[in-house]
Amino acid sequence: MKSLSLLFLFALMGSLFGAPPTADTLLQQQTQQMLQNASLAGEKSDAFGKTLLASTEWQRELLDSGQVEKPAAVMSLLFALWRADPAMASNPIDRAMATACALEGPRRDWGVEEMQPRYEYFRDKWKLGLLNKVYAELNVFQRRYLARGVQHQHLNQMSSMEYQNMEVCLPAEKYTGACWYARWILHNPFGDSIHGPKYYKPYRDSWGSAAEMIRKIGGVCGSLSNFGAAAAIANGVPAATMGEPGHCAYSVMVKPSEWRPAYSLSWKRGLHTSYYSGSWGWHIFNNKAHASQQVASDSADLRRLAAYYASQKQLDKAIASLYQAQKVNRYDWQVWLQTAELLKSHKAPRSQWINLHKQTLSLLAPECGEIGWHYLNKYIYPELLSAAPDQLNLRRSSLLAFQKAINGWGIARWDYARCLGEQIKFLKAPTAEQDQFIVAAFGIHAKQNLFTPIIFEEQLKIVAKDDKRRQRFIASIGRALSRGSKEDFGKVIDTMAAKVLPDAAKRGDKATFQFIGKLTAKNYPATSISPPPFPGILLSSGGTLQIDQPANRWDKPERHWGVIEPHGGGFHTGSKEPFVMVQLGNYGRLSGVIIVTRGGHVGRLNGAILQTSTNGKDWTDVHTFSKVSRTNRIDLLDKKIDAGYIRVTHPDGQPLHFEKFHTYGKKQN
Amino acid sequence: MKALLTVLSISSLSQLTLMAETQRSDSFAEASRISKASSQPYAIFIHGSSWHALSDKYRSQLWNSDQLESALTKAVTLSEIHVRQNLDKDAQKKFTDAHKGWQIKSVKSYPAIQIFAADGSLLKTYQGKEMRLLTSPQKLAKHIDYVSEAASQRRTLWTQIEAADKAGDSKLAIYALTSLSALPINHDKRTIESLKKHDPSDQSGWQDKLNFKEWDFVRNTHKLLKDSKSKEAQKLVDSHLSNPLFTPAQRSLILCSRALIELKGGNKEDASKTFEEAYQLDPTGANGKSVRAYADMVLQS
Repeated sequence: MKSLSLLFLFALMGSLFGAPPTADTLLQQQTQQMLQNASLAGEKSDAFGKTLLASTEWQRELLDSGQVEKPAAVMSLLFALWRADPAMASNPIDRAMATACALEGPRRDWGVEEMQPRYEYFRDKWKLGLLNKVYAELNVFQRRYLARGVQHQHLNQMSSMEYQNMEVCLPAEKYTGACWYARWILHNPFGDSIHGPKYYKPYRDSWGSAAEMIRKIGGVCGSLSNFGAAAAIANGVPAATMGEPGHCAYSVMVKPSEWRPAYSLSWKRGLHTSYYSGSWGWHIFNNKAHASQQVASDSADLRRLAAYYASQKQLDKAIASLYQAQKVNRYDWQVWLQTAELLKSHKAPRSQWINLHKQTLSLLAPECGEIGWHYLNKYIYPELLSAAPDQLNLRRSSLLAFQKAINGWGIARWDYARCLGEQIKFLKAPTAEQDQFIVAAFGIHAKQNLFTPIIFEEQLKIVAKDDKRRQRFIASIGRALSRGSKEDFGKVIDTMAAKVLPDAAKRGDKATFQFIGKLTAKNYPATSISPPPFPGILLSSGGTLQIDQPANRWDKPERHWGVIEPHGGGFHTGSKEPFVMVQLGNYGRLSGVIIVTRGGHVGRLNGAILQTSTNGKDWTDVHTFSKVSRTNRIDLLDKKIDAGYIRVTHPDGQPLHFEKFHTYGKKQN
Repeated sequence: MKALLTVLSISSLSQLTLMAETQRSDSFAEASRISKASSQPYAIFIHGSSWHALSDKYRSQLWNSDQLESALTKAVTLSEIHVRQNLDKDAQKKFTDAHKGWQIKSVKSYPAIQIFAADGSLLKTYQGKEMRLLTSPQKLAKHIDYVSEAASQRRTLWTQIEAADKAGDSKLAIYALTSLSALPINHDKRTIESLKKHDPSDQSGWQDKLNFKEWDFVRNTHKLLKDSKSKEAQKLVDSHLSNPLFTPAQRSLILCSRALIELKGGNKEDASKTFEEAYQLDPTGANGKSVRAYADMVLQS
C-alpha cells in the first residue's frame, strides 16, 4: 500500500505543477477506487489488492473490457476467484478468463457458486487441450461471451458443457451448423407441444445433461439455437443466442472479431449477450471497439485523463482528451457517453455541442448509422435543437446533415425506417414541410439507391389515405429525378417505378403512371420492332397498364409504361388468371390493335382472348388468338367498337408477355 | 454346393489378408484404393490438430505410434484426414477434391476414427465419449481389430448371400443375413433390402430390429392412437414385443407404447402396471427413467 500512497503523491504533485498524472497512475487510481468501494473482507483481501495493483495489464483487462456493471460485485467475484486459484494472476489466459467471469457474473446475478465452476471448466479444459485453439487468443471482452453462456440456463450447466465439449467438438466456423444436431420437431413423442411445459418434462432427468436431452428429443428454433451456441461456448469459441421476429437464432465468432449469424432468418436480431443495446449493429460495434485490447486501452486511458481534467475543472482539456479518444477508437461507446455527460454536467456552451454534433457526423454516422443516430437523437439534439416553430430550418438542416453523413449500411444493417420515423417526429413540421423533408432525404440517397426504397415505402404508408398528398409527393420526387442523368438516377427511378406503376394502374391514376413511366424511358432501349400503325392515333398512349401478379419473379414493373407507348417496354403476367388490361389514354372508336410479344414462348398467346370495355367492368370478346407470331395485328376497323379499356385474358392459364400492346383509333370525347 | 465352394474360397482369401501387414497411406483416396485391391478394411483418423490440442496429442501419441502398428493383429490400411479451420474457398475446394468420396458430415465431433470396409461402406465411427475412452495404442488396436474382424465376417457373409441369391436358396440367404445383421457394425440399406427380399414377413425379426427408431416408435404409436388406429398400434406393439432381438431399453419403449394404448382405452390401472414394467426393464437408462417420469405425469393428472 506504500507504493500506492506514493503514486497519489506523485499525482498530486503533478497536478500542482500542471503536468497530468500518467496513464498508469490514473488506471491505478480507478482500480484503487473500485477496490475501496467493494470493501473486500478477509485475510487475503490485502494480498489480492496488491496483486491486482501490481499488474497494470490485469487492471486494463478488468477496466477496459467493456461495461463494468455493479463494480463492487465484480471486484468481490474477482477476489473470490483469485482466492480459490491465486496462480491464475500469473497465467494470462486463466487471468483473462477469471476477469471475464467476474465481469459477467453480476450481470446475471451469478455469484461465486455459479462462476467458479465455470471459470474452472475453461481453465481445466484448456490445460487438457480440450478447447479450440482460438481460446488462447481471446481478449477479456471476447471471453465475456464464454463467461455469460447462452439464454437457456440448463445448457449453461457443467453437465451440458461437458457433453458438448465431448460430443460437438468442431472447427470454429462449423458451429454455425451445430443447431442441426438436434432435430426440429414441434411435438415430443407423447404429442406434447414445445410451447407447453410438458415437452421436456419426462426427460429432464433421463440423460446426463440437458444438451444430450435436446439432441435426443429435439426442439424448435429456441432449443436448437441455444444448443448450437452452447456447443461453441463449451469448446472455447465465443457465441451468443439472439432473438429475431418470431424466431430464435444465434451467432458465432468464427474468426477473431468475425461474427457469423447462424440459423438466422432476418437482419432484425436482438442479442441475448449485449452491451448498451441489443441489436446486431450494436453487437458488431462493441466487438469492433474491443477487437484490439491495445486500442481499447488507449481510448480508455484518454477517458481517464478526461475525467481527471474534468475533476480539475479544465473543461477544454477534458473535451480535447475525449475527442482524441473518439479518434483513437470511434467504436468505444463509453467515450461518447462520457463526452455527452461532461458537456451536460458542465453546462458547456452551445459551440461545444455543435462541435460534438460535427464529430458524430464525421466519426460515427458514416460507418455506424444506427449508433450515430441513437447518439444524436438521445444526447445531442435535446441540447442543440429547440422544438420552437421558428427553429424548423435548423432542425431540418441538422436532420438532413445526418442523412448526408450516413454511407450505406456501414458495419451492419440497421433499422433505417425507424430512424426516419423518429426524424419526422423530431422535425415537428406541418405535412407540407414533412413531405419536403422526405423528398430531400430521398434526393440525398437517390444516387446510391439503398435507402430510397425504404424512404418511399415509409412515405407511401404515411400518405396512403390522402390521394392529393401522395400525387404531390410522387410528382416532387419525379421532378427531382428528371433533372439527373440515367447514370445518376437510373436505378432509383426503376426502384420507384416498380413500386408506383402497378399501384397507379390499379387506382386508374393516369397522371402518376405517365409521370413516373416517362422517367423510366431513359433506362432501357426502345423495342426495335415497329409495325405500321392502324389509322387514327395511338389511343393507348397516356393511359395505364395493369397485369395480374405484378412484380412476380419474371416481371419488371418498371418496364410497364413503355408497353402502351411508342417506346415499347415489357411485362410478364402470372399464370393463375393471366390478364393484361389497358386503360386507354383516350376513349375512342377502335381501328386496330398491335401486339408485339417477347422473343421466346410466342405460342403462349394462342387461345388468348382480346376484349374491350367502355367502363372497365363489362367486357366484350372481340378476337381469339390463333396461329400467332411475334407481331400480331388485329384489324377492328369494321367492327365499330367504342372503348375506354382493352384487355387480353388467357383462359388456359398461359402467361402473357408483351413488349407492345398498342391500340389505335379515333379519339372521341 | 457352388455357393459353399465360393464361401470356402473367400474364407481362404480372408486368411491371406490376415497375414498382410498394416499399411499407412497418405490420403483417404489412396487408402480406399489399397483397401479395394487387398480386400482389407481401412481406418481413417479424422482430426483438427491445427486447432485442437487433443487431436494433435492423439495423433502423435496414439495414431502415429509404432505401438499401434505392432498391437494390431488384423490387416488394415491406416490413413488420416486433417480437417482445418476456416479454410478459404480455394483451400476448401482442394480439400474436398483430395478427399473425394469421404463425407465430412458423418463426423459429429473431433477427433474421430472411421473404419470402412473394402467396398467403401462405413462400418463404424468412433467419436465423442467412445473415442476419448481409447486412451492407449493397445485399446485402440483392440477396437480396430474388432471391427476388422467384423468386416471380414461381413465380406464372407455377403459372398454367401450373393451365392444364395444366385442359387435361389432363401433359407441360406436368411441364415447369412441374420448373422450379418447381428454384427456390431453399421448396416446400410443393402442389408434391409436383402432382408425384405428373402424374409418379406420378417420371420427373423431383423427388419423390425434394424428399422427400430427408438423414441420414434412411441411417437408413431401416439400418432396412430390420435388417428383412431388403436388396433394397428396394438398389432405393431404385439409383434415388436414378441421379437426377442430388442434390448431391454428398447423393450421399455415398446412397453411404454402398450401403456399408451391402454391409457387411450381408459384402462388406467393396466397402463400403470405396464409403465412400471417398462421402467423396470431399464431402471437406470434414459428410456426407463423417461417412461416413469411420463407415467407420473399422466397418471397423476
